[in-house]
Amino acid sequence: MTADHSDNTDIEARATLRALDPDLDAGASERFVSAVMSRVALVGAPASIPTDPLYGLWSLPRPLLLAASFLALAAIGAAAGMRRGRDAAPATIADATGVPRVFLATGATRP
Amino acid sequence: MSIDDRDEELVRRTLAGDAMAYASLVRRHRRAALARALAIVGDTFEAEDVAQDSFVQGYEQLATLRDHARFGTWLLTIVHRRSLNALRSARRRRAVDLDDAIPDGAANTASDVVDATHRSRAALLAALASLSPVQRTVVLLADLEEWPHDRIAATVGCSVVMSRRHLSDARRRLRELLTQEERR
Repeated sequence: MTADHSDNTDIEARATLRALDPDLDAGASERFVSAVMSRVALVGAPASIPTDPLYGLWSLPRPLLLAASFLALAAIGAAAGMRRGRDAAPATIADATGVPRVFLATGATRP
Repeated sequence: MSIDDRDEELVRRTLAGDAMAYASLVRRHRRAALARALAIVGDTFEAEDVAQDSFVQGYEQLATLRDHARFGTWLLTIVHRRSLNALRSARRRRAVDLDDAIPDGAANTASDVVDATHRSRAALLAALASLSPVQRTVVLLADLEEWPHDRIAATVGCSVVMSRRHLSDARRRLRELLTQEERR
């Protein structure tokens, strides 16, 4: 392939590599394509496009995915911590100050 | 429409079952694949085998290519890997001898155009063999395929500045070697 947008404008002369040009022989290109395509025909159709609905997601930059995973884990951890904190909180002031239950029972008498 | 835009469309059509689209991809990337392989294996016939194998492998694994516009770059990585494997196999089989490229008796029929081509090809291959693999790749892509430096740098994995330096060094070395060859 000869690029049509070359910026290869070095002042020094190009190396003369014409002897290695794969198109010195005019039919070389089509022979090459035919050889590849005859082998490709034996292979059959390439595997179909993946049907995984998240397929495109994996092409996201990996660091972004990693950062998102860490944030999600941190959020889940924080939520769980808050819930545990609520469950463990004392229900009354007596609970919080450690008054024995025996003194709280309705109609309780001193031992 | 850029090269990559067309590649994207051709890959999409190939995956949809259009084999002729893949033939177009082969036509578009054949020269670059051959140059990349030649830079590593140092033999035009071996390079052709490697390039063909790479295109077949590329077809088999086309569905794994995520960014269809990057078909060319992806294919060249396959070529690179297969070239290294071929080189290792060749080294195991025999010591690399670039003089094999000259047919028997070629030296006695220098006036023959075909043999002259073989001789100059052999001389070029021998000169290229004295370069580093990166220099070979850069000089082939720049001076045979006329790629711009930014594209070469992206393919080789170096900076544009280094690509220019490799090219300059490679050209100088080739000129020296080929001049010596002509004087003989």
